[in-house]
Amino acid sequence: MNFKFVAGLEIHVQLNTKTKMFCSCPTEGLDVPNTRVCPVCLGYPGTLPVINREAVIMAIALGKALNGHINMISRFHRKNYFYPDLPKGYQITQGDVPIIENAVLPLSTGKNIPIKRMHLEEDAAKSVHVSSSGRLAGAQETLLDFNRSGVPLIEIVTDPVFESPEEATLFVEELQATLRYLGISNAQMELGQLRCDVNVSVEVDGKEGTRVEIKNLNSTRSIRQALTYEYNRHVEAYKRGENIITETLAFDEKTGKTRTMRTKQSSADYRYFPEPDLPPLILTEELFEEANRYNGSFLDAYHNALSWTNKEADARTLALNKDQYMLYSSLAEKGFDKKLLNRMILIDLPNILSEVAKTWGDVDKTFLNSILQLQQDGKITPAVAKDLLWQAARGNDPMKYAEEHELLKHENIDIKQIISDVLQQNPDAVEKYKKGNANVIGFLLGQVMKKTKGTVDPNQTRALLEQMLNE
Amino acid sequence: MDDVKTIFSKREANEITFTHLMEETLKELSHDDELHAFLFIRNADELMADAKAADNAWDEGQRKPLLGIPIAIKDNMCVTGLPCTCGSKILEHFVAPYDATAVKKLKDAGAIIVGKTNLDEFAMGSSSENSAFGPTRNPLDKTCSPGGSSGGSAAAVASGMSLLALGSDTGGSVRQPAAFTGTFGFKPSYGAISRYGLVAFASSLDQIGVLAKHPEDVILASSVLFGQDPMDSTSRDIPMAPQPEASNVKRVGIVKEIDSNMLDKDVKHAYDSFINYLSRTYEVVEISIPHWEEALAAYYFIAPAEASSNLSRYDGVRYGTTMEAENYSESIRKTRNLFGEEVKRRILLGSFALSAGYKDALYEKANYLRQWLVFEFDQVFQNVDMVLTPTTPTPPFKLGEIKDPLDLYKADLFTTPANLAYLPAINMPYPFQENKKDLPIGLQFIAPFGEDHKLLSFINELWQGAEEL
Repeated sequence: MNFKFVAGLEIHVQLNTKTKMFCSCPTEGLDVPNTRVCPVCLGYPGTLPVINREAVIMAIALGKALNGHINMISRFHRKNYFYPDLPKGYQITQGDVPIIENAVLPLSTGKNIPIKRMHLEEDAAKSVHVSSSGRLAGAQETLLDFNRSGVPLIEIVTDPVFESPEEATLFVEELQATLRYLGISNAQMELGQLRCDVNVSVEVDGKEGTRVEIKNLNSTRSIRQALTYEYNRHVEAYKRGENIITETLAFDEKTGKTRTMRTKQSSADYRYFPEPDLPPLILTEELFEEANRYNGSFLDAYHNALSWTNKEADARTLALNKDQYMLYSSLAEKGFDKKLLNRMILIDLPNILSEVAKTWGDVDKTFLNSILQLQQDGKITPAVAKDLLWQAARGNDPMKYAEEHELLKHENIDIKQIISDVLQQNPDAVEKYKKGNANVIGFLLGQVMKKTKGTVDPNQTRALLEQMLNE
Repeated sequence: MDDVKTIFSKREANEITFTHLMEETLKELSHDDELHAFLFIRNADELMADAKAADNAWDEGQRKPLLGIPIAIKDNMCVTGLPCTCGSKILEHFVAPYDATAVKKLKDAGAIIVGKTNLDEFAMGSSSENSAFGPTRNPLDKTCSPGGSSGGSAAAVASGMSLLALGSDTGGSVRQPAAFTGTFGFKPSYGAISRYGLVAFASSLDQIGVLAKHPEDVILASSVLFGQDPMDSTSRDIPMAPQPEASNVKRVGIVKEIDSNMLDKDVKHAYDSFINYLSRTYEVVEISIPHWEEALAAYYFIAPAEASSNLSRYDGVRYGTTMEAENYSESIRKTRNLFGEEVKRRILLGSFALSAGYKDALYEKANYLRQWLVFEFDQVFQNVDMVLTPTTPTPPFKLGEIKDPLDLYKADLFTTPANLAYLPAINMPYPFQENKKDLPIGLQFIAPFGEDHKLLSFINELWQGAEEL
């Protein structure tokens, strides 16, 4: 039997507008429950929705970025169902005519991922299940936080084109980056700013398999694990001659397994109809112009990164991390040598940051600037540079530190004098060298470096040392 | 009772004060236990204090369009700090945390809100008998219904418990009670008055309307209430000046599809004789609205469909009455069982009309008919300035008289087309009742979209002309 993995994604992204989708409640400062609410987002009697203009602009920006067909007239619909986190008993979403259709996300690997539709809608409130034991299992009560109710969402639906769990994961990572470069969402999965549902099936000898849906995957790791688990489960079942049933699944991060949420027999009728409280959404030239404010591109970043690093993996890592990329980019613009930058931004800094538990946002650019300048001017060695990075990470001004600890190469330093001092003080080593033991040169070099506190270039010093030994 | 203009000139001449006016109003309000026009009346001391404040403002030279004027608000519009029950058990203890835009505009214009008026639950009905808190009686004959759903507002105005009242009109709920109480009931063009703060029944049909005894008061109140509101995306600016002007109406259309033989004989008589009267001054022509009869059917799918969704929010989770139970689904089931029979009937009908497999044949078809109706009115108004119909097929019926809900739906036969076609329409009492004690008959005029001021000016002309006879 021949098995082929097939998956499509349905992704909900919170847009980072200042206010909610249909009211003027702020979307920030949501940590204290039920403090960012008003009669509109609580679904009070008599209230009406008003479309958030900025959310529309962001949707247009995304449509343009992903080369989608942008509908000049689209409609909002009501999706009716009862749930405690849904204050109006319906969600305002877009039905038959979404704002964007037929877009494409080009992956850095060169593959194009077709996106069927992207539409605007509102988020529901957050349900928190609690029990007296404090454990989720056997929760007795549900607490509701309406701060999230009405936060703008854009839903992104892809075609079922993913051929492996890795590809689906890569898509989500690069979509996240795309949204961040555009500046329309922070897209952090762990904060629920990007949420992912997956449809997955396994083709057997070219014949379509049964599709299951996995809901609410909240990390790229979970996506990969859940998809891999499902693929294996389907393959094993088909090999045994068993069927897969159509159902909706949840993924348990702890066990790495999926479990049944509901079977499709109870499929809901949402009784969609056009939202009578909102006129059709008609796009204007003005909105398109304003959408130009959101114009960053992940793929551009990736190509720049590739030209700097010459390695696809490095380039992807750098471009996927917007803060890291922006830092690199701003330093590269200043003309610093790429080798210095690759070492500092791709190797040293990530290690240091993880060691001191800080983020890219905490990095002081002026410090990096000084360190690179010193390095570029030949005033410090790579070893000193790394030391200074550590100091910078601890909040010390690297320039001051270098001066105080005499780490700078002094122009008036008499390296020849120091070498000849070292040679005089270590006659045994000199003797060994002359007898043909070239290894001692490392020892002698170490002595010189020690005396100069590492402020001299090791290669040049080695050459000079050899020259003087041979004299 | 005087109109607002007369009250202001008497106030100017120091013949009356707003305090005096409020004392009179309170006297009437004290009889409300007989009529039950109100579900909530504000405390008398508060009302007197408001009237006193209005007098002081007047004496300081302040002039506002409705300064010191007592006004009643249908209990499906939010007034900060006052109950807003919608005539339903489910909102029995709900207190509004904000002002409807229309209410805010009235307050800013100096009006004094006296209380909240009775209605059919969630404005669903034509008799005010569907109120969970008991029916309202018709002030002109207490054994009769004042109509509905704005029956409380109509009774309040007819009995002098307020000069003006706000109602809401989804399929005739302002015009029909006006017809039953001999008052003016105006439903503006859709979007003319913001719906923000009006508890939704059927959003694409709902419109706040004005009830008053004098057409000039309708014009004045409308000039305060009209205007695009950023809180209601379906609202728009429709011109409305505070004074009537020459209407320039020349041709009035009467609808061919209305079979006058199916009218009650008193209504038929009034309708025919008024057409006669009109044709002395205006050209009266027969026009055709081919989908006129289907309108009622379309209405009774569209309105319940929207209502089924609009009323989904009453789950007892955030406000209103909550019936405690073991779990959410049991609790919501018990809570929503507080809805009255008519509300439940319409929620079921509406859910059905929207459900998979039936939506195309019911909801979509009804909207298709609605588009036809819009088009047909558009054609008609190429030819005539106004359209005249009876407001209702019958005079006021007795309380408890109509048992079959379908029979009651027929009370909306002539009023629903204006809602479906977004048009302004008004009830004018038939002015030539031979016996003044006879129950009133209502005449309805429908105008082209946005020509609200022309409609009201025309009614004012007609009314003054008729009074001079």
